[in-house]
Parts: sequence; C-alpha cells; structure tokens
Amino acid sequence: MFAASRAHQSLPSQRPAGRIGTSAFAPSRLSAQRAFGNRAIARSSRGPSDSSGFDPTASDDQDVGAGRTAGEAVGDIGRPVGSFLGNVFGSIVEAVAGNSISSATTSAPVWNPHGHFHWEVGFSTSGRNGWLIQKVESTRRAQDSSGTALPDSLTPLYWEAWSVDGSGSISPAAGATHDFWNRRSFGTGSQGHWSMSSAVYFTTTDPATQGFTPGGAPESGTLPSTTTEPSDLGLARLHRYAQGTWDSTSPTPTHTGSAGPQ
Amino acid sequence: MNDLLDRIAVNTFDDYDPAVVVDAANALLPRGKESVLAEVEEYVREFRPGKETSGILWLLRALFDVSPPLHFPPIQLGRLSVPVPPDPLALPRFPIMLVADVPLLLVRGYDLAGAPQPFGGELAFVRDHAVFRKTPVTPDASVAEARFLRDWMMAYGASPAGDELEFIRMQIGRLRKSAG
Repeated sequence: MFAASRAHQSLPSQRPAGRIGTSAFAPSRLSAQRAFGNRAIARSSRGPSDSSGFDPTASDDQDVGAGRTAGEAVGDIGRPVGSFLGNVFGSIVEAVAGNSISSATTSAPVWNPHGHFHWEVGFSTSGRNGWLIQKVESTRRAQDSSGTALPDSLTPLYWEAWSVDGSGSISPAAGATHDFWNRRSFGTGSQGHWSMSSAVYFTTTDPATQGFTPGGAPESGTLPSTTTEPSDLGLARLHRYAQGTWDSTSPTPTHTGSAGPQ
Repeated sequence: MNDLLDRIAVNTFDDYDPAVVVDAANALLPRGKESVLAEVEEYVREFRPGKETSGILWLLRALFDVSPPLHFPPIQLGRLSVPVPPDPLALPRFPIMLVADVPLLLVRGYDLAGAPQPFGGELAFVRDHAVFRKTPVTPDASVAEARFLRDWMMAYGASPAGDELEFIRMQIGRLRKSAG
C-alpha cells in the first residue's frame, strides 16, 4: 500500500469517523486499517468536512471537502478494501485451482501536480502458455477553478492482454516492468479526482479470438485490448487500485492519493 | 552526449521548453544523421524504471523532416490529451507542431494502464524514412502564436480550447525568456 501527499500540503488532523463510518462501515474500516495501516484510513477519511463526507444524505456529486464528492470519498475507501479482499479470495482460488498471479512495484507510485500520476509494476504468474488479461476500470472528474468540467475522453472500462510463454515469461516487458499506470496532468488552475482499479486473470483462450486488437482502447498503449467483455475469464487472481485528488487552483498545488498492493 | 540526452529526455509535458529542443537540435546537427541515431539508440537501449524519456521523441520530430504522403507514426504512449487530427498530414510531426521554427508540444500528457511503445519503431521509421535537418533551428517567437492558431484551425477545424492555448503560450513564453 502506498500513500502520498505533496510535502507542501498541511494535513488536517484526523477526526473520528463520520456517521456511516461509525456504523455500517466500521468493520470495513477496521479491516482496511489492519491491512493498510492508519495512514491509508486517515487519508481516505480526513478533512474538515470529514463527517459530512460520510453523510448518507450527501449526494454523490456534492463536494464534501478535501476536494472529493461523497461518492468519490466512499469509493476511495472501498477500493483498497475491495482490492485486499479480492486478493485474499484470489489466493484461496489459487490454492484450489492453481495459476497464481502477483505483482511487484518496479517504480514507486508518484502523485505529481495537476493530476499527474505514474506507477510501474511487473507481473509474475505460475500460469504457462496463455495470457494475462487485465480488466481496467477508470474514473476521473477534472474541472477548472470555476468548477466547469474540462474535456476528457478517458475510456472507463477495457480489457488488455499480455502473453505468457511456456517458461512463464510475460510479454511485452520493459526490463522487469509489464504494466505502466499513468494519469495525465490537467495543468495549473485545474482540480479533480481520479481512480483506477484492475483485476487480472489467466486464460488459455487466445485474446485475438475475443476481439482484442492493438489500440482497441488507446489507454492500453501497444497491448491488444478491447472494450467488450471477454467470455470465460474465470476468477481474478490479482486486484490493484490507485486513486488521487488534486487541486491546482491555489499557488501551492496539492495531489494526494493511495495505491496498492505493492 | 548523454548529459544532453538526459536534459532532452525529461523535457516534456508541463515542463516542456521549446528552447531546450532548439539548443539540442543545433548542437546535434553537426554530428549527422547516423551518428545522432546511433547515440540515441544507445541511450534508450537500457530501460530505466520510472525514468521519463518521451522528450527524446519530441527532439526526433523536430530534428528530422518527412514529406507527404508520409507523416510521423502515431505515438502509442496511451491516450494523448489531444487526438491526432482527422488528416494526419495536417500535422505530420504530431504531437510536435513546428511553426516559425518553434517546436511546440501540443499534448499535456497521456493516460495509460498498459504498455507504452518501445523506441525501436520510432527509430526505425526515422532511419528509413526521415531526412535529417540541413539548417540550424532559428525560432521566431514573435509569430509563433499566430501560426499555431492558423495551423491548429486547419488541422482541427476549430479554435483550440482555452487551456490548450494557455499551454502553448507558456511554451512560447519560456522560449522568449531563454532568448532574452
């Protein structure tokens, strides 16, 4: 689990969890706290409007403080917990059905000004002679200083493929890195929130027969990809996430977030 | 040479300064095409995790020319913040636009969750199809914005968004500052 903030941002003190957090969300918060540490939880729920951030009466697109809407704040908490629980479940499935998939960071995640983010990881798998398929889900809200939405054509959902040979070598690769996560800058005067989450599967079905093509989703770079859900993927063996909130409307830009697992 | 390429490699997106490309291009011109490509190839051969290198692509697109019907191949870093124009020949160096010898970068960045293009394809295209620039780069910042607006309109059929124009003005400002 990674968490980061720009050094020039003063962090508000952590307050007790809000109304939902003290009731229905309490077990999830405890699980996440055990799994990811206090900092992740503090980051996910802090802020002067913290209690309103968990106010069930707040609408999903209402700014509840710390630059996030109520829906974004809930998602920021759910993503780490969901990834953690998904990976626990994935490890159980591996024990029964085999074909493990894991990831290791090759370049640590960085949250740069104006919404720019970068993270590099390498995969390893016990699967042979097949493909890793990664489902990628993304959200982003980018606005100017007056709150007007900035043009954005991010693909919200797609699947992409790496090949795995008989020795477990995964292609394409750049050194030990297979997967590059990058969110672009929106420049000075912008503000917003973004999230990414992924689930990785192993399959022996050729993606070319499932509609995967180079550039199917531009965000996949050179990988074969598609925006149509492939069939028979089975159960995901690996879950990852990253998220961030930025504000470049003041002279000291901020961009905070978290990502995991390592 | 590696110091020069180190500076060029990270000259990109929010921090992009056309003056860095101009200075590098003029420093590399006397070396000739094959020497420059060999040194760039050696520089990018070793992958460095987390190291930004896209500035090398922008240098190549300013230092080499292509003639219709050819244009530089699409950049496959991910989804660029500005799309390729409907007719790629309208901006053959995209995402670089060379106006009044000012190499402007049109994109603020890219979104990626996958694998970016390796340098091999770009270098092969340049080696096989591009012509090494013959004369030094002599930018004229005074007309750059007007020509940018003209060429953008021709390429996209509409004026650039306000934040795009601001992004370009920042680049022209940096060039002026370097020249001044």
